[in-house]
Amino acid sequence: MSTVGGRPARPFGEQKRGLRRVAKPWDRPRGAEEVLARWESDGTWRNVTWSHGVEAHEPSTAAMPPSLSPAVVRALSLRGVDQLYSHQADAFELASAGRHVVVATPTASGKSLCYNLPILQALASDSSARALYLFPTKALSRDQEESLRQLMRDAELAIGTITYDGDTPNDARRAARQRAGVLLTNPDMLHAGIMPHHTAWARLFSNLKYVVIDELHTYRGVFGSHLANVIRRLLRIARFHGSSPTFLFASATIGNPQEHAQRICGEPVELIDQSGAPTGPRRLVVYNPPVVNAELGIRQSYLKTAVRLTQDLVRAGVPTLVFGNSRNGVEVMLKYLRDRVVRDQIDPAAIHAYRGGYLPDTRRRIEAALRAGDIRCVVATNALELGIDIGALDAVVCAGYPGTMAGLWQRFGRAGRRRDLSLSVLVSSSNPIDQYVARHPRQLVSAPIEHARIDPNNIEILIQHLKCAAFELPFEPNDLYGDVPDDVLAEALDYLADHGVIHPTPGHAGSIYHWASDSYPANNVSLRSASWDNFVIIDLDGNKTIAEMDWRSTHTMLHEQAIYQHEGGQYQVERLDFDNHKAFVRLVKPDYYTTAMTHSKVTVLEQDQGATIDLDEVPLEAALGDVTVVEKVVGYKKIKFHTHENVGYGEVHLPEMQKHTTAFWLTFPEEFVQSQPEPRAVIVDALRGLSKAMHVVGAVGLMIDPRDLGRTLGSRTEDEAPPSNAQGPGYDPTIFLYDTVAGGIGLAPRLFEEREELLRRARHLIESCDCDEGCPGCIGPDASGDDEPEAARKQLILGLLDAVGIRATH
Amino acid sequence: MSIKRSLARLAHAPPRSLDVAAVRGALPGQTTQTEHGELHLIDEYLEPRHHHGRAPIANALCVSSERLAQLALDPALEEVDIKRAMFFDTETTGLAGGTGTVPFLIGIGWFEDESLRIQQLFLPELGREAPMLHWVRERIRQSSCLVSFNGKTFDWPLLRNRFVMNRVRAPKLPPHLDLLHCARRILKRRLRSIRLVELEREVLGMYREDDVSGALIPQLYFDYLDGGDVSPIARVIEHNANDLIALAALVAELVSHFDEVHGDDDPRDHLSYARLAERTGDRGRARSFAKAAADGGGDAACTVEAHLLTARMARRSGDFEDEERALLDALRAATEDELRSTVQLLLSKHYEHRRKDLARALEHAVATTLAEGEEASHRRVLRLERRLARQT
Repeated sequence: MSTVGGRPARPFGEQKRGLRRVAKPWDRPRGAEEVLARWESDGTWRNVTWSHGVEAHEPSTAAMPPSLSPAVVRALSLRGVDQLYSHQADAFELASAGRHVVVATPTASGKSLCYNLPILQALASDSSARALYLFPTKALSRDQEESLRQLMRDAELAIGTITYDGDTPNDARRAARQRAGVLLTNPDMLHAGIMPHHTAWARLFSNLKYVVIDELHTYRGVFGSHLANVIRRLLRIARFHGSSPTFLFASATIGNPQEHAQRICGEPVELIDQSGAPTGPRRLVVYNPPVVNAELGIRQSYLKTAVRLTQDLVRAGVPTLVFGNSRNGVEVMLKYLRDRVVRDQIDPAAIHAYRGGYLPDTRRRIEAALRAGDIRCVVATNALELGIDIGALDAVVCAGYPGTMAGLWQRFGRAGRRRDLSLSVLVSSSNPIDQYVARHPRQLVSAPIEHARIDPNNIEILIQHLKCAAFELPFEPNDLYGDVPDDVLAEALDYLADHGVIHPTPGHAGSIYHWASDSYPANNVSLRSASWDNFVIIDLDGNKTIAEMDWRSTHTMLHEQAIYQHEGGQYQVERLDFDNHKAFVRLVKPDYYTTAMTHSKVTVLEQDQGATIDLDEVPLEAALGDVTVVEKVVGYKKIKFHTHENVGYGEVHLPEMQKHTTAFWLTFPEEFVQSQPEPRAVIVDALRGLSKAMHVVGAVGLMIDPRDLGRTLGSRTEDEAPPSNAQGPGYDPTIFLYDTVAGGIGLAPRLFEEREELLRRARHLIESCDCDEGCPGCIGPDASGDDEPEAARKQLILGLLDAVGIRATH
Repeated sequence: MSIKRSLARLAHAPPRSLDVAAVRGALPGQTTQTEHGELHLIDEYLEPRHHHGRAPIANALCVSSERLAQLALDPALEEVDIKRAMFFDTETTGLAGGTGTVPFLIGIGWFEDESLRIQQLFLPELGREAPMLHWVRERIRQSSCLVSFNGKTFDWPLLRNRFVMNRVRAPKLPPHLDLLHCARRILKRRLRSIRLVELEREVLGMYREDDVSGALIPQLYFDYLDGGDVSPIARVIEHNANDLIALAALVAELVSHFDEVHGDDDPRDHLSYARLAERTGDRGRARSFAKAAADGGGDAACTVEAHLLTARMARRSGDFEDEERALLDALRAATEDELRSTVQLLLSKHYEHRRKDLARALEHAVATTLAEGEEASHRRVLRLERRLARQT
């Protein structure tokens, strides 16, 4: 690293880094290396299926661009930044030339300067220039506002910055419209609060030079498809007011940052993915907990294992971040960790949870304590993936595979120091995808990373945004709406006109469509499907709100009698007021927690394509089409703390959730089922096992989050009974794999195309699994609940596959 | 997946069907050619003797602009020439606001000599707003001020949107008198709701017959756009004209009753006017209206408040005897315990601080529990007893 004026030049981004080291009684002079050495010698290493070293990276820097305004240079210099990292310099050059840019470099590599710098320069040279920043959450814009304001002040810019969201007071709103040079907001506010009133924001829209979209990777699936439409509307409005903004994106690890950014803004985007920031050496470890019951394929609890490994790190004074995949998991680990560290004379308050459901001030408190070193370990769901400003820590422990490679790397990316060793550990759970990863760990560095997928032309989403767009500006002939083809746009507008929400007026070149309804369409369009409308959780004893939860999680987490875990305490849900979005809880001391049981049912609406897999004596019908999926929480299980035994059940009465989507399905003819020597129920259960294996290989093959792909076994026709209570003959058992996103984002069609390969891969997964009778890693354990061991279930499935001509390839 | 089929599957209301066979009839008014395009205009004069309810609208010409400025709490109105005021009111495609809400009927009115001229600009087809906006802009440029009902919050922001949307330069806005806020200040003590129809009934004695309900107006216009009958639109036009006339009548009524005390007025109105005069530093007027309110035979709450207002003004100008008299009047008028307690607290303070009459202060202090709480009242009594003991 070069030095300027006798001290090391410190590129920007380092500001964010690290913890202040504070001597605490428990602070022993040990670190990540010592913990690794101990694990290698104490037997822990026996269960490590993979350990991989990543070399340190020297910084790559560049001089300050000569075109940069002296005031901006001075402002950076005040922060000890006298030169830039190479990626920051590249971003500045491209952005200043008006090219759209996506920066996809690791956490804490100084990404924000990549977009702040060209904007500071633009404001310094033209005080009427405007920039719009979009962050996925309110909290993130508030985080950025303060540091940006400071930076702008130091750069002697006369113009201000303001966060505009639901919490912005009225008088500040007027100032925001008139005077803010940089407006920070979220897509929801832009969609419902700003664009439908764009005339009041004429100054912003007519001078809009840059649009920043941070945390690009969070805009996937439905949310991303909505955002792409919000951007299409934004571009229409900008065109109307005579501006054409440059887009600057920042993204964490995803497989397709460039393509994704291009789909969001609809234009070519330059990619910057080579970070010039230095990193110390890193060690990646996959730990697969040992099998404790070989017959059932049950492994030691991954939560407890993660807790044990974390405890070693905390004891050795290594600041550690623990990720769980569910809120429940996080709270269970928090409780265990606190119980354990007390024995080491460590203040349990040094272990803290961090998750989306916490109220903002709680989260701020935790962030501050973490920076100050009062908190040594944070247990989190993915809330930290959203770049809340705590910099990187020394170690990351992931309890369970987050479902995607991208998600795993985003979490692993949270461990990283400038010089010293950092450690990233994945503790695999017994669920199939985790086991797949644990058995093929090299894929972590060799396999491609998942792509963020969106479908901005998903018809439900498109129609909703066309309404909003028509409200904002009438649709003229030859009007552009993203890359939606003219004929599709015309058809969609006619559809809206038929329904009387827009009104066609004849013009010279064709009809002009005006909004013609006494309503405000943006209010009826939520960008985050249902999840934006939170439930509040009220403690009956304190009579105060302790947390919020999104609508979808409510069904599984806040049903009556559920144990809701919050900051290490257990609360029982006494009443769920579904209409008013309130859950009333009371602190209890149970020795169990609860998990919900859900049931889903698929009904075929319309078949689009069909094909026969005719490889042997039994032909299979495969199809692709539209389905209705109904999901319902039917009950819950009580799981005892520490032993994890199932100690009881309860019923849940909640409304079902219904959606339309696309599905791929595979039908086994009833005659074939009847012709097998085993009873029908056994065959149906075997097919359910097969569907599980298909789900695993399907999700891996498509490189998607398994939660984006739904799975069920049922009948093709609605009036027949679901398979769970179907002992007798009747329907043709059908395996459904469907897009869980309403309307579909294109997963099912790809499975349909690859149907034979999918079956072959499922067979390979089952064959290559070490278990005897089927385990959670392949076809799942026997679902019958009988103690009597079934006739080799795994062999049965392989036999069925033989019969339909899907044979072993090796 | 075909878009048509996907569209068909979307769960929305079925397409609207309309009886297009109905005879359309003719719109009132006529189409005029302007330099910015065709404009559909309904143009009308109301003679000087025209009354809206019992109020002669030409009275609006006599209002004092000084009083008007007080009524609106807006000094910008002090100098305006009321003869050149522009009254305006719009009918819109919705109440939601935002860029998708369109005023399809803009009513404007002004005085020409003693007659009220009313022009209503109707949008026969969406997208043809530019000529209307130019017309309104020109009228605003010739006006000294705007008079509306809720126009500051609703009509004007909406019009401003339309100027931007249609790329017509918005006019510079003269002072704007929003009668909703004025009426609320004066009438909130006796009217439950301050909607224009209520004001017409209660203040102007005007009862509209067969008036079209505001909530239905957007749909009537959409039906018209879809080729429906025009007679409902004619009713909307009449409704809008009535609203405009009501504005002129209401200005005259609200201001003239503030100019001098009208003995027949409701004492609660007198009280409101007294407060308003006090707020604008017009002490003489405040005193006369407060007196009218106190003597008007209104309910106890009104009478007591009027006396208290008199007392407050007397204290501020150092007329302690007047203050005492007013407070004692208030106490006599007060029937309810809590109110009595409040008055006695004021009396106690009056005697203690202004008149140094501790014995009388103590007499009233024992009754202040309801007004200031047990603890504070107790402390007050103890303090007065202590001071009294020291005196003797």
